[in-house]
Amino acid sequence: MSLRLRFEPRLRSVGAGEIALRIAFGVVLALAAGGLVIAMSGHDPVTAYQALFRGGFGSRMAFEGTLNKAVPIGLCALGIALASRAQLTNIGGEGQFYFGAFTATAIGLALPEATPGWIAIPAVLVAGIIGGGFWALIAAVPKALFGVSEILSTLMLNYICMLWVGYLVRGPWADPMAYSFPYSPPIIDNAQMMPLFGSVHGGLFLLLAATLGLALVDRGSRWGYELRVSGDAPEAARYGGISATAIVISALCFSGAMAGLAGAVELSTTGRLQLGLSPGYGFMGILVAWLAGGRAVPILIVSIFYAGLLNGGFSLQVSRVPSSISTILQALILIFVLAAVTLSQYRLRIYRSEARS
Amino acid sequence: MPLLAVEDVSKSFGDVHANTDVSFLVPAGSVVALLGENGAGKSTIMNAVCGLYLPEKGRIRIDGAVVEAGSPAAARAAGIGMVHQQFKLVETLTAYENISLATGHGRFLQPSAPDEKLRALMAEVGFQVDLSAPVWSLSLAARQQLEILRVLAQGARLLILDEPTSVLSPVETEQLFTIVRRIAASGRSVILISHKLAEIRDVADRIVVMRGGRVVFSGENKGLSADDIAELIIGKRALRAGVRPQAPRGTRQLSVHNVSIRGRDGAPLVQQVSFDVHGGELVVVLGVTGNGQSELLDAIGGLMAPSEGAITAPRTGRRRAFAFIPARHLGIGLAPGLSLEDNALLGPHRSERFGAWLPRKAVRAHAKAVLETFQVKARAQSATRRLSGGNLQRVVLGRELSSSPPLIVASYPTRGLDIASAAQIREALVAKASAGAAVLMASEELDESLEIATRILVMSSGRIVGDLTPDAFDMDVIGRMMTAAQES
Repeated sequence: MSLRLRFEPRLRSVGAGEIALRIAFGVVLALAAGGLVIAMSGHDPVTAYQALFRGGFGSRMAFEGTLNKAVPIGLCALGIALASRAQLTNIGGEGQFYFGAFTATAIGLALPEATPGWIAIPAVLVAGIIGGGFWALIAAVPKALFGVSEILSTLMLNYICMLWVGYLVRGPWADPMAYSFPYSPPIIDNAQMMPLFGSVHGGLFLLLAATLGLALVDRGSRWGYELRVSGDAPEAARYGGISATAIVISALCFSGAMAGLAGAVELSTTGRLQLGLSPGYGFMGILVAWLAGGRAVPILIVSIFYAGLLNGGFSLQVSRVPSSISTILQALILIFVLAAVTLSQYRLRIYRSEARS
Repeated sequence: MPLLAVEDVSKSFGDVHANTDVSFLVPAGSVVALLGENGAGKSTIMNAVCGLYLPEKGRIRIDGAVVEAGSPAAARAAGIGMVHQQFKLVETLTAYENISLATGHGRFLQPSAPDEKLRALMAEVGFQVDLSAPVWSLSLAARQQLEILRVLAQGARLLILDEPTSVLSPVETEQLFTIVRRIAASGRSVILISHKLAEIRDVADRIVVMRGGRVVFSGENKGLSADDIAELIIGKRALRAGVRPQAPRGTRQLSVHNVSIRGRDGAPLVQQVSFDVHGGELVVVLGVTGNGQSELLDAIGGLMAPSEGAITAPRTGRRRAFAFIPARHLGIGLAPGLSLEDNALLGPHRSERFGAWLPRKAVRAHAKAVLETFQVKARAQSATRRLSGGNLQRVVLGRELSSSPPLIVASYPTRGLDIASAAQIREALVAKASAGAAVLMASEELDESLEIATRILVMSSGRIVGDLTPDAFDMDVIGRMMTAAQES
């Protein structure tokens, strides 16, 4: 007789509550592992976590800042999740973000100073949507026509776009009044989004609307259905009269449009095009989309949580803990939560066996 | 002592009892046919024997010793080997490399040429496989031989073949059975899983029949008639013979004019084929597998483009407006990862019943209707890839026939199905033709075609070599037409 342990795949899918419990367990384990790392670096884990929490959620001001940061992260994540419906991996969120910010700046600079806000702000946002969609289109067309991997093309387009923006803010669009800082001149005042309540700006409503939009696409739209079919079985999609070309192009372009909108929102709230506009929102969006399992409402929640980590990272420095602890924590949480979700598809089974002699 | 003894094995998946107290014996040196309908539990018990499934209850013994349950390695070590219906070969490697992967010789370098032992094994059983050829260049029959050789080279004494004849032509089937007899003569045992009674009865010593997850018969093949076995397989259910559709000839629904199709390598698959199908007709394209029938039907269904010629069929815009049942369900007719409800919608989702928004209520009702058409017993939310072959076929048919199409094109609609399911599907096609639809189907079964067709087109080497109406149906004549061009 021998005892053996083994993982067996579950036949039933696990309920939402159970998954939430497992994710919470993963987060707790990640915090414990993170605490160990903080202690090893010679700091007090309790102080560090307190500072982190204070900076992210501890006060009204901190929470408002977190909500503002959740907007670009969430928008990028929703776009990435949308593309993933058709098994398309868009890792060009960062590039699409910056191209959206670039087109938004172009409109924001070109509009006459007297343009009323109700025209200027939508114009800037729509310019960002179109810009982000266009930047994704550059990768979508070769993918749709020749099968060029969108993973590589969207990734490479990130660097091209960042160099383009870098050129603009140091060259043709450099603000002569900003001394040698690489900034563009500010866009017109009426195109800048102002805080609506506290320091929270209107971007939050755009994030909520986009979340609702993705949920509706999933719930019962024909387009969402066609995305899922072509993602699961391209040949079945063709059999069912679904054009693979149209699906690839529309999915990637809408995905890019969301990142472009995020870029426009950030541009409109900061007022100037600059290279520090994004601390990597496009890449964070990938992590958030993964952590949330690609579903709309969880993306909203996770992006707020993630923005809190990011925001809290700044106040870590105030407590003399290196802010890179926050980055380490982000990575640990990702690993532990992904492990928790993956393992929840299995059960641990102990069984005895009569060994063959 | 029997080579294999299966004792009281039970296995369930959730609420489904796939196997209940399954017991049977396989004597050394025998060929045992395991028969049963789709979903009778044949594959489940064989997967348990191979260690792929862990049964809740029961034992597997080889030479009287219990084999550790649920361990493929233990089953392999005990001398159990299975050739699955879907071959598990690495296509880019050579035939020999595939064998050496499995036998695992060589610590750092894989040996590149077969050793004496393997050559002796090949000679003993009569294999004719070019071991230096890459697998992708081999025919399906050669790949099957390679799979068998690989299992034997691993030291298997019990060889399990799952539906081995489904991919073979009659001549290849005969070659396979010669090999099976030789393997049995060497003292090893073979279990054949199959639907095809006629073939199996020639080669099997013993027969095990399963129904509803239980063994209902286990014993000698001798003294049983085909009718006896058929009754054991389907139980006490009436089997109605199909009847030819009786309908006046309607309007022309499909016109195939001078169509030729070339394969990727430029080889001609279909050459200069022309025919029409009218309402009320049930036209069967009959031929040995691999003579261009499936490519012809795929071209009509829009899965591949003909290199020459024109196909005229009902369309709305550029979309197909007729029923098309492809030969492969999972991946073409159905998206394996989506639910049955979603798959019931594939195609109809673009019809005028649904707009850019697919209302949940309408989707549910549609799925329910599709699943009820052929009594698919599965929840609409369940994952499509877990369904059995028969159920997959019923879902596709239910969906494609749901809109009362004027033309039905079905590529091997009864292939791989058990007797009762095949009869059900034949009846449905006959009923549609009687109601005025034009039906075109491909088949490789002579009996079936003679029973229901109003017209038979015999294909051989990509050409139509016979165009026959019921008064000219003659088994011998058609049989000769099917094989004639191959021999020349």
